[in-house]
Amino acid sequence: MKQITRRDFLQKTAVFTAAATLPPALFDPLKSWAEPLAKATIAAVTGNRVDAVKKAVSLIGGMEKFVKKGSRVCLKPNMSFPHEPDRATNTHPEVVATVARLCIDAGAAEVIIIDYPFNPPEKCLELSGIAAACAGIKNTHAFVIYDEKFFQPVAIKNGKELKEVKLIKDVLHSDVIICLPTAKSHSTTGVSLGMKGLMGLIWDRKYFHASVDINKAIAELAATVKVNLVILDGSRALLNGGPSGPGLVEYPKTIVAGTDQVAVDAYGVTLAKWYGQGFTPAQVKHIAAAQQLGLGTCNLDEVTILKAQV
Amino acid sequence: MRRWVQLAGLCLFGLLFALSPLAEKLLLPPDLFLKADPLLSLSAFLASRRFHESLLYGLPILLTALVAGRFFCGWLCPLGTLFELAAGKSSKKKKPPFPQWNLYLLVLLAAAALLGLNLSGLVDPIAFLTRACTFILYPLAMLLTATGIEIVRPVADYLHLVTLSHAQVFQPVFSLILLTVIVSVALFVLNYRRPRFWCRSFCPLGALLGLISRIGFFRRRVKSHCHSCMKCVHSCPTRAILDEPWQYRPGECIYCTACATDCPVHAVSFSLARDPAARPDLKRRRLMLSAAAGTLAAFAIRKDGIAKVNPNRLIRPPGAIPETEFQASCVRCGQCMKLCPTNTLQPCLLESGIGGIWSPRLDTRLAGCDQTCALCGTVCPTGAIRTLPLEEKKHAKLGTAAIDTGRCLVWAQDRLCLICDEQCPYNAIVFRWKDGSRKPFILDTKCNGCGFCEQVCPVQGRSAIEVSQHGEIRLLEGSYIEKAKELKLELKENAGDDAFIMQGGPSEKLPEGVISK
Repeated sequence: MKQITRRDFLQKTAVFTAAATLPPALFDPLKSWAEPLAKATIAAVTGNRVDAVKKAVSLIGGMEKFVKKGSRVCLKPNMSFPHEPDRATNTHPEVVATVARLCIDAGAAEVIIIDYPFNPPEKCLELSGIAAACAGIKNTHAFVIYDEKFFQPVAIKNGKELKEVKLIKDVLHSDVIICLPTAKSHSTTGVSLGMKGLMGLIWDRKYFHASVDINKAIAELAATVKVNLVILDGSRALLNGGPSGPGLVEYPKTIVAGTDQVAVDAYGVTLAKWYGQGFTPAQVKHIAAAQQLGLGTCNLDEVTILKAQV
Repeated sequence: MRRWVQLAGLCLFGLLFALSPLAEKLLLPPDLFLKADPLLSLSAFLASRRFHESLLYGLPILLTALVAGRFFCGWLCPLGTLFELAAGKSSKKKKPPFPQWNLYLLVLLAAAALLGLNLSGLVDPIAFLTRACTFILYPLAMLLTATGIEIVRPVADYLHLVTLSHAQVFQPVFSLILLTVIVSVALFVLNYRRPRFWCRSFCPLGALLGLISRIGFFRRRVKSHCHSCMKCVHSCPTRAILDEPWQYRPGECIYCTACATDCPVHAVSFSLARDPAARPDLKRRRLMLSAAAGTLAAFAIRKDGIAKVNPNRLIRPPGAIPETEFQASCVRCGQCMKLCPTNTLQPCLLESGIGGIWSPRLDTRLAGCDQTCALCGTVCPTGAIRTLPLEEKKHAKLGTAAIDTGRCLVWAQDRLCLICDEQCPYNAIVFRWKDGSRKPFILDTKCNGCGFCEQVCPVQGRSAIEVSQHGEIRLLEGSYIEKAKELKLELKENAGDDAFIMQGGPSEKLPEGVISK
């Protein structure tokens, strides 16, 4: 193991203390609710998924814009299912690994890849291919957690459906949160993209299904978690049978990136003909609800879309 | 010398137990001690009338018994070693309270086994020790590890040791931990007061080996210059030497050779000899009574109504042979439960009748059966659970799930729940349009009873979707894949009925989260 130097120790202590004291500010829902909107810009790049990720990130300003030197980055891919990449229920491991490398290259002190998966947790990490793909990247750790002690309650002051959620602590203690959803259908919410994927960060998912309006709750959750960047893995799309599959898999070969969660998800909706029919972003209730909360726009006419092919 | 052999045996037992998840990579089978235990394999054979390879594994110990009686007890038995290590001050004056009851117990077990009731696992030392390790040592070790991690976690958080601060330990739980603790503590307390009382008075494996020793030819001999100082009588840990030094019961001697070591005039030796052995002084009436008790126990337990119609939910592990043969073969060692990665395998209390106590069942409310695992079958010492390749195991249907529409959040409360569908590995749960909204249905031909739906159901208390043994496939031999084909089951991972949405139906068939146009 590496020796800890005094400088290192002091630095880390400072970062840790800062991280520990920052969250209340980061997670003030009043703030994020009321944030004024500039015209959103997203990138949509088609082609080989590794190059497409790199291109998409560079189109919206490069990873350095989001990841400052020495920052702690938390990546939230979909790795909830003990399935291999072919089934398109988890984010493709190459996408996760590419983003992790970009973060480290941008100067991130540490990248934590985390999800709260379904049973059996360790197998999700293994079969998704994410653990293996990220094993060689320095200062990068992939974890699946399944114990309540890794969660911390966060109050939602303005919430109508949610008053409090228990969020994974790493999300609260990171400087940068990057969502890496995979594009898939969902038999309740229609699609499962970036905002729906945030349900993987909370302890009591059952509550969303059993006790509240799940569509509005997802929007409030998205308003609560301060997501800095969303990179949607649309290299494949699970057209039906989602979220768990198995179902029909199509290959839009597109990576979508942006800071506007609603706009990225909205573009994601247009990537495929879900359930053999397709629908518009505004038809998806949780996306419309997020727009209503002022989180972003799902009207793609109002969004600058930087397209490219690699 | 003997102590070293004993410790080596104990370590081997512990090592095989700890490493059992790596069953396929080990040179020795992880259930070596259980397999090699002739009492377990013989009674499973008698009760189920099925040949199993463990009968062959039992031969070496039977052979040592032919030569040197209860050599196994004194040199190899891990429970015997533990009992010796945990003994209090030996109480040399005390006679065992129930002399030779182990022989009566053996007769009882044999009579019960002949009538199809296998009780050997409850009293066999190896099965007992494996059970104690599964239900006590293993969860306790995990608890202590987890506690240790919790103690250092704040420090790890502070020093930013990421891996350590995210360390998690799986904490297994078992429904019969308390009962196992009570039985084990009681035995060890009694052993403290009367060292090896179990081995002397109750152990039926010891009785079996002792019986065989009557035709053995490695004997204790006392030379004529013995001056009857009686030291050997006192040093014998099993009181096998009677009131005179040159008389002993070979059936109780564990060949520890303490008497030879302690003899001041070196008059005692162990050598090849063919003495007429001292007969165990068994009372014929007691023997008859034991046999009668075994018969009666088999009759009363096996002819309980539950044997014909079991009203309880009883989901056996994948690959469990048909119930009658299963109960006759299972020796309640608990290895399958120890290896189960999701912890769904739990010991029965009364779910399979009083004779099925400690036998494995799935608690699908606690956890589902991992569809990427087939470990339980790899460690069953008597073949009560068959060793199956993963693909075969997936087709060994455990039962079928059923929805309680009065409790289901979708059926009863019109909620937007889909958790069971999301977790089903086979898409056996599908949503269909019914009475104006989408509702979950179960396709029984695609359900293999894994139980993940039941585990994750958000309804508190009893799940709104439950697996029962209905439709289970239990085969003594042959392929489960073939059987599933014959029954027209489709235990394949495909889109199944969800494809109905794909066929361009009216737009209201979209998921609820989408506003139809």
